[in-house]
Amino acid sequence: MLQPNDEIKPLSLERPQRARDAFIEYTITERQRKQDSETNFNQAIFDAAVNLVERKLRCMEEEGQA
Amino acid sequence: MIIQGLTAENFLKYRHLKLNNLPTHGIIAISGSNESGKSSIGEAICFALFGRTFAVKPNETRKLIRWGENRCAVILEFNLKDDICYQLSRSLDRDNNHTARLYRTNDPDNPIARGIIPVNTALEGLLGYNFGAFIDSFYLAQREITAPKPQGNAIHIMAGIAPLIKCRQELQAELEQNKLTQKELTIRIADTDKQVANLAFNEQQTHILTTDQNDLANREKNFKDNKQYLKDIATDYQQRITKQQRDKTNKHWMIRLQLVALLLAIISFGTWFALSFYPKQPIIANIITNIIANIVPIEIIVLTQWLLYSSLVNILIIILIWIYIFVLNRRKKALRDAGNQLADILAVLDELDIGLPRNLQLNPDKIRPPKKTLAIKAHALQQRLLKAQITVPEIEDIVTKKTKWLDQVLQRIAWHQTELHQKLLHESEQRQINDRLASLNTALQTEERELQERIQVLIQAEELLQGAMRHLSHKFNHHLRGLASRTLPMFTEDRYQHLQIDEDLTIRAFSNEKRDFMEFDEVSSGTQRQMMLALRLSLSQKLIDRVVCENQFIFLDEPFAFFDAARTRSALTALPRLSKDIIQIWVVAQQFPEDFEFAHTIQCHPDCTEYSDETTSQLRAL
Repeated sequence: MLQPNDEIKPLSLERPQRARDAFIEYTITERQRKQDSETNFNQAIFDAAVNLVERKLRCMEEEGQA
Repeated sequence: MIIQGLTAENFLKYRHLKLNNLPTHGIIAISGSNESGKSSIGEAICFALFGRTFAVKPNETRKLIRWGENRCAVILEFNLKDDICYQLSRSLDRDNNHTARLYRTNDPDNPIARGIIPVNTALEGLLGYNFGAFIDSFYLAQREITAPKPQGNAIHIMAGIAPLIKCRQELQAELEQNKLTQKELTIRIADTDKQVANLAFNEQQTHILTTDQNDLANREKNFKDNKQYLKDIATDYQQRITKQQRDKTNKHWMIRLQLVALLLAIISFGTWFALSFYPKQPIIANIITNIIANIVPIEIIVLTQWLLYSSLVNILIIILIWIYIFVLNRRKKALRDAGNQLADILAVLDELDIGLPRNLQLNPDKIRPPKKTLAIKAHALQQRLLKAQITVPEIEDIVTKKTKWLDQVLQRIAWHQTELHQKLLHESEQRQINDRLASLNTALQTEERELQERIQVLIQAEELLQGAMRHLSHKFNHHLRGLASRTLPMFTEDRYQHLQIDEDLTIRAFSNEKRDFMEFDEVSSGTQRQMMLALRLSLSQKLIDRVVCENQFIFLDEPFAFFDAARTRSALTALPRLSKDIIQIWVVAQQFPEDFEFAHTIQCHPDCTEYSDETTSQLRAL
């Protein structure tokens, strides 16, 4: 049974990533994966899609929605 | 958000509820028997914050008004990390008139927001969460023993994927819109293709018409030139043939005159020669003496001179007549040439008549004489013309007929030219329409191509967002599992040490005793509550880390309902120390261990409809 004097490590986390940072981090690995696995990988469309989402997330951040 | 005070009027069982000077740290223990109003305190907090509660459906909020009363009101006093004390007041009557007001405690006259929606919006801005997130994290309802919905907005906020979901929704809307636009574009392109096909514009047609027009213009010029030439030649020939009649007579007389002059010249010259060079010849002397002397009463020398002059004059006359005849012969030759030319032009016109296209023929159905016949006729006419055997009226007749025919052909050519002009204008209009349609088609195809690229980008973006969401969810579950696994042993006396949380928040616990993961349904009700409490605390911590970022209260309604005494005590010991952020912990239970120290206690009684800390304090003091 837990005693009052027992040491308890509090629940705490490092500051969570912003959605935009997490997304960019994911796309870096995803780009690498696609480059290594897909022969007809369309880099231009991939980059355009990443830019599009990043811009939207940045706007949402500026509007305080993210 | 830390609650400092709560006041309620006619809310659920309470006629009057007043909690003041609540501790900011530690456990606030709410105890009492069944139906003593313990959960009503939590529902009052929930109603004050969001205008609704977990237990009552949003369209049945009138049930929150105390039985027999017309109106309830709740005032919640709290402070945030800015150390400013806020008050949130709400009221509700039986007619569903719902009011809300948020203001700073020290400035009640200037509310931050008034009205349900403005207050909800302002509060969400201040707190960082809404009702859904609150229910899934900081508020563990008494009857709730299921995990929060993984697709709920609260979990999305906690996992940090809410912005990605919002972004994905916007992109999906754009994608749908673009697909609709693409369909419309495809229809429009097909429509313009159909219009182009219906137009059946032939690029060669204009060229053909222009060539025909030029051909007609050339023919017109040719016919006009020939007409003028025929007119000139005919006039010339007529004049020449008229002159020719006169020249013929003149020539006749001139030839006779020339013979006379020649004779005279010979006589004169002979006489002169005889008289001048052989005057002593007996015959000549005799002639001179007898004949000339008697006839011409002049001297012989003078006569000789006159004879010479006479012969010269006659020679001159002969020469002049010869010249005149030469001129007449030239005229005759010119007449023959003119006849030749006239014959030629008439032959040319016959050829033109034969070579006319059918649309320019005056009588296309008429059987035309064979070329050979025409050639024979032309040759005969030419012979007559050359021999000047044709009369002026005949020429006039031929020329008039030919001129009339030429006029008719020219008229027909003019009519065809007008028709061709109209056709060319029509073709020009068709070309303009065709060009416009082609241009529109090209623009639409370009737009469709760009749209297709945009759609590909949107599809790729959506795929990436889905992948990123899965990635974040996985990370979230991983962290959640770590958090829950740290709290679960404290609540289960170390019997369960690990929680496995799937993507859909399905929970399994690792039993140290069985050395295996057990399904949620396989464990006892008490352990289920302990697992849910561990999960709830983990979710609360995630929400704080993600959006709240400050100290927070948590309300746990009967979390130890099926706990044994040892686990209850362990849990109560662990709760205030589990998180540095969750510092004010409201715990509801029928009873707590008597020797356990709480930061604040609220004792509810089934028959008591009024509760006030002050009253309690006074009672305790008494």
